[in-house]
Amino acid sequence: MDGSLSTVGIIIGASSASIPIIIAAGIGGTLANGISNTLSAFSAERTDKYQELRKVEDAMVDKELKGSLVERWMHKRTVVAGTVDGFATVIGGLLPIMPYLAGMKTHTMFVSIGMVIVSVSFVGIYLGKISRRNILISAMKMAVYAAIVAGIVYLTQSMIVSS
Amino acid sequence: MQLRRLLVDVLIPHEPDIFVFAEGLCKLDKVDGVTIHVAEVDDKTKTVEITIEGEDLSFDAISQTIEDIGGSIHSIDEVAVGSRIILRK
Repeated sequence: MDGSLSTVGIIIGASSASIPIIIAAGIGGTLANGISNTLSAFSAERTDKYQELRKVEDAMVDKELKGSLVERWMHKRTVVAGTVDGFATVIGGLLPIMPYLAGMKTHTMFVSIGMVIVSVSFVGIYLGKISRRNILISAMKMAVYAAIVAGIVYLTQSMIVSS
Repeated sequence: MQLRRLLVDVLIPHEPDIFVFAEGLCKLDKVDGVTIHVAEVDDKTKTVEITIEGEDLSFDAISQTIEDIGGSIHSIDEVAVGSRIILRK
């Protein structure tokens, strides 16, 4: 969701430029976002896991877990979590660029926005399902959030371009 | 002196789970079987009783494996040595 919303923001912002520039900006932004998310997820997960490791060491009284399977296990989970986070951001970020890559000539930006709103709704359905809440309301909430983001960026872009 | 049965009281973290401990110990030379019984569960750790049987077990190898995985041996509660195991009645 993070990837697709930020990329749609880039696309809306660059919408008055040529198609190749929009694609380049979109892909560049997606990659930057994905790499940044991966690195910050690594960092955050690593800090979190090592804090957890220290707590386990304290609970085990004088037991050092450095070099143990427990530490290697936690390190592996950190790597997996960071990689998944970054990968998901890139996949999400490529979605709004698809209409441009497919060679659409008209209303491409609106098709991108529509695709992002639909995909974010599916995220809402999934979140609703796992939290056992009304999935329709959850999906609609996410769709509205995405529409608000797109709306704000579109207004900002229009104001800047027209000034 | 052949060590045939060993029962140790071990403190282990919740992860990795007891399957990993059991597998790790079972892979050791001369180990015929491993039983892990969870005696107590705390917030971050659990206390388990590990029973290992085999022919000519190596306590050093067993304790090193438990340490490497992340456990801490608190006590040795039972040992059986000799040509056969005599169970406590």
